[in-house]
Amino acid sequence: MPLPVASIQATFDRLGCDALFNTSCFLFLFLPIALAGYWAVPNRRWKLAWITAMSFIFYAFWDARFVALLAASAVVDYSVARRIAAAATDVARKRWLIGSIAFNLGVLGFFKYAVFAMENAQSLFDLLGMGVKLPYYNIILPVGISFYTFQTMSYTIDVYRRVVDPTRDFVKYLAYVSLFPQLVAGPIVRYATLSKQLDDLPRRPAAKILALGLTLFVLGLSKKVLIADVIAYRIEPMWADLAGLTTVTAWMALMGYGLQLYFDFSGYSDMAIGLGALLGLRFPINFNAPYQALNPADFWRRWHISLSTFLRDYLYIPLGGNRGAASRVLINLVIVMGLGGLWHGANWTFIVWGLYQGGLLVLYQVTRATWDGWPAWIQRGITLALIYFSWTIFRASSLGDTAELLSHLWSWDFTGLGMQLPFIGILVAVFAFTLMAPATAILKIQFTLPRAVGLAILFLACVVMMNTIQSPFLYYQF
Amino acid sequence: MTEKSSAGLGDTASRDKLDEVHVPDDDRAGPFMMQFAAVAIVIALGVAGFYATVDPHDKFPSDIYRPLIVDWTESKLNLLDRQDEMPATVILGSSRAMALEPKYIAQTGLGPAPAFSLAIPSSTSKDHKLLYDFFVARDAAPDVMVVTLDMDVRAEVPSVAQGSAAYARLTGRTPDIIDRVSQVGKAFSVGGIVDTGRVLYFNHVAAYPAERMVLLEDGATDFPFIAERRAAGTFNLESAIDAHLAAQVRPYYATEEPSMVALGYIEDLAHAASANGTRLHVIVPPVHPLLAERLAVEVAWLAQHEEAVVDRLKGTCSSSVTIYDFRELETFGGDPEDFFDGWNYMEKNGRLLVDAMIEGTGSIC
Repeated sequence: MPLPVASIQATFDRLGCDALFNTSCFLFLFLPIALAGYWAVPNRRWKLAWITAMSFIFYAFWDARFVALLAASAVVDYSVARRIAAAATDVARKRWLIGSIAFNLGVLGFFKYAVFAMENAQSLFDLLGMGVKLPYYNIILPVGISFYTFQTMSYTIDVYRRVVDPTRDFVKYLAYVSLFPQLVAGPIVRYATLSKQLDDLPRRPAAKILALGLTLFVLGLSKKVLIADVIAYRIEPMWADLAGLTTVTAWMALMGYGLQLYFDFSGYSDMAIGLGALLGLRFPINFNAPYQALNPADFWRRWHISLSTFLRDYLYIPLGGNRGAASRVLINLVIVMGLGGLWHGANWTFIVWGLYQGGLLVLYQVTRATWDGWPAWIQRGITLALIYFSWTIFRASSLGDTAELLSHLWSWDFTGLGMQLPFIGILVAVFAFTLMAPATAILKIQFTLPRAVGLAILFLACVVMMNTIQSPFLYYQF
Repeated sequence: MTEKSSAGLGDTASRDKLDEVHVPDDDRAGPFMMQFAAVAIVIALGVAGFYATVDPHDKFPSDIYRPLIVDWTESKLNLLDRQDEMPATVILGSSRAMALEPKYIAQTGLGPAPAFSLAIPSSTSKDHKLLYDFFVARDAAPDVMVVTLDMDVRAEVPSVAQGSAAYARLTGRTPDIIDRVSQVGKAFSVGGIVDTGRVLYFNHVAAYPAERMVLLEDGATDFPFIAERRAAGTFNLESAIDAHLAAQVRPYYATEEPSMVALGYIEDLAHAASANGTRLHVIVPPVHPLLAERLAVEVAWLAQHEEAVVDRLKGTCSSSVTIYDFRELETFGGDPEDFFDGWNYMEKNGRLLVDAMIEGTGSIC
């Protein structure tokens, strides 16, 4: 008898459940049940089984049909990794590895890039007047596929490289792939980081870790709900009508998006780390005050760290890394960042954005001696300008839109400046905050009464705002 | 994986100390979490309690404060629950049926007593059918029902009942946990908190805005603010009609073709009424001549549209269903001064409409 997927989905929808942390369903239904069950069950095996089941339920909140794809992806890499370890020759090991990578990239390519590829092929055929009509398919992009595919791939590659041993514990592996805190938008956690933690799950929660998790989760939720969503609410209409921008609103759209993206994604990462801690797990940090970077290379050591280190270890170094001629290193950087851009989405804007980021890294490498000699504030200012400019490419739906926005930045039309001043003040304050505040995840947290009161007020403020404005995470779509 | 530097793609050496979150060495973690939970619960209970007590949207039967926004469907059903017996005559419709007085209908014999008005502002044909089904499901189909034709024949108008807290009660569904949680959830929205504050402000600092209707025990509506403004010499009907046209009327003239969905509900209602022994009177309600004149200029297809609606409704005529076309005041001797805007007539015209129905004037059957 087939599973009643539609009725399960309808129930989730009626409960207002989605694979998001900023929903009442997650905060007041899913999370309490997940945590209570996790800490109530007596042993490690049950904890793993429980958290895996809850993670699959969490994923089903988005679309129950795609749970099977997540499971299939896990099963393939679990099996392939064991085959690699058992293979008698290096050639056989490599064949299994290639098979796994082909499967993972094939799945990712089909769901994420097939429509894009066909649309571009169609445009090319039209341009050449070939009279070919390709069929159009409406393919749903499974949430989090870019993240969990990279995780499963990293496991298989690490087994191939003998960095980690393949696990025989399938439930543990499923838990690693599906852990709900980081399932849909990272951070991309390596198996090596979690393996030992999943073997040694604490039986009872440590108060310190729980309090840390709670603090990080609420701070992350606040970054998302109280800052990113509020900024988004004001700037989304500006991005939706680029032709109608004035100089004032164009700058607000540009600055606002840079801040929205940072608070949205770093907020999600803080929540993921906090949720991990509530399960007794420690995830690597994903952001480290990136807008305080001194140069483009420093920026990528601070922004989406789990992606940049993934690209470094699984793409840049295999391409040759820093070895070889200087020109080869620079080309590698551009290739890696171009592909990193493409990872974000099937659109030319992401490819151009990635190539631009590669170009910035090249620029820095070439001018490093001079650049590093400048005063820190000049280095930071130039880096910020270059990065904020890149968000115009990243956010726009086409390069034409980027050009449209840029043309308004210097149109000297200050209509409505007075009305926008309060929000401009908020943007300036938030911008200044990003230039000075340390990363949330490395804050020296103290467990005092005033901080407990402040955290409770922040949490309730988030609940109030969640019931008023709500939006998915920006990286949810990648 | 062992390279010291990788040109910006994550410098292994410099990142080691940042790989994991700093865990504070602080023994107060347990009390910290208790304090967090206690503060959050106290504030949450405070906000929820305050909201439920003040009840700005009239969701909880407390009557401590006058509500800010009335859920008319729920308020009228609450009122119906308080009646000694189920009504023998029921009035259904939008604000354009609110000046039909149940007592007058019973007194003149158009329908037997007790009569009750379930007219609800912005109510649609779908709502009328839903409300009638509510009576039928309780084996209390009224003997007589008076229904006005509403705006949903000209535009997509959402069902009022469906958005009401009373929807579960109306449809016979037991209110489940989701309904209750969603009500409490409103307390934790910016709007819920602001409205709570507004109710307290109106009750303790300043008076409520004057433009309000007052609900009477039999579901009828009183319009004291018009009388007050007329007495003060501040009411100008022409301005009210212009403001009404600009703010509310235009969106309702959106569909050149009559809405078959809306008319379908009226037809279903007519069939259901016949099947359950209810005598049904359907009114195409009056429009103020000034508004009619302005609409005729703005909406070129209006006359054709209205004729199509009336033609279609003729098909529902039967021994138990009568349709009245009261669009023009002349058909029932209406008073152009007894309106508070272009669509909404008041008590005097309501009584004249009832008189005309008793005489059979305006019937198109």
